[in-house]
Amino acid sequence: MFAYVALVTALMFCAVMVMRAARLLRAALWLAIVSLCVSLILYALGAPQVAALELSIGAGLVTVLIVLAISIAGDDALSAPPVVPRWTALGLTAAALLAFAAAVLPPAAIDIAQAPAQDSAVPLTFGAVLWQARLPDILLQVALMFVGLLTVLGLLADSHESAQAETHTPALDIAQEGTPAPLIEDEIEHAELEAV
Amino acid sequence: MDVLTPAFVAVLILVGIGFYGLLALRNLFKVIMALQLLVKGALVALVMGGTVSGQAALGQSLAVTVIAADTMVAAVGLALAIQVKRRYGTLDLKALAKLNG
Repeated sequence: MFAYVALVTALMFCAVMVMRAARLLRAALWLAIVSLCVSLILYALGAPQVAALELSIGAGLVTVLIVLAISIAGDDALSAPPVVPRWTALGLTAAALLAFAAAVLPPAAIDIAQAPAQDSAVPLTFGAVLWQARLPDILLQVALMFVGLLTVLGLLADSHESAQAETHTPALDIAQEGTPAPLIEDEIEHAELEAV
Repeated sequence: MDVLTPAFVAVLILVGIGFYGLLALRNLFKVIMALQLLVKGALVALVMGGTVSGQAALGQSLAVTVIAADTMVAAVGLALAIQVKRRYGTLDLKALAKLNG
C-alpha cells in the first residue's frame, strides 16, 4: 500500500512539475519521469507488455523527440499569464473530473464489471487479441506510422529547403553585385566547354 | 489496498493536470506535453477498464494502439511547432492567434 501511495504521489509531483518547470528541457525530463511512473502503474495492473512499450516509447522515444525539437526551436521560457484565466481553467477541470468520476465510479462500474465477465468463458491472451481480434488496429497503426513519418519528413524537408534558400540568397546577391550576371553565365559556359 | 484505487487516482491526476494544461498554457511545446499527460491518463484508464470488466487483453491491445497513435501525434505536433517557431519566431499561442493571414 505504501508503495502505491508513494508512486501516485511521485506521479502527481512530476506531472505538476511538467506544468510549472521554467525551462522546457526540464519539463521534458519531468515528463519522462511521469512516463516511468505510468509504466510502473501499468505493470502493477498486470499489463507488462504495455508497461514495457510505454517505458520504451513514452519515456524514451517521445523524450528524445521533444529534446530534439527543443534543441532546434530553442528553449525560451514564457512567463506570461495563461490564455484562459487560471480560476476558470481550474473550475472547468474540476467539473470535467467530477463528471468523469460520476460516470465511472460505482454502481455503474459494478454493472460494467459483471456484464462481460459472463461472456468471456475462455480468457484470451494478450497476443491472441492483439494479432487476431484487433488485427485491423495493427494495420491502422502501421498506416498511421507511415503517414506520420512522411508528414514529419515533409515538414522538416520544407524547413531545410527554406533555410537553404535563406542562406543562399545573400551570397547570390553579393555575387551579382560584384560581377554582372552575363559574366557569370559566360564563365559557366566556358567551364562546361572545358569539361566536355 | 487494491491496485485499482491508486490507478484510478492516477487517472484523475493525469487527466486533470493535462486538461488544465491544455486550457491554461501558452507555450506550444508545453501544450504538447500537456496532451501527452492527458493521453497517459487515458492509457491507464483503458488498461484499468479492461482489468475491471474482465477483458484485460482487449484493454491492453487498445492501449498499445493508443501508444502508437500518441507517438505519431507527438512527432507531428513537434514538427509543426518547429515550423511555427521558424516562420513566426514565437511559440506563444496568444501571439500566434493574433497573426493575420
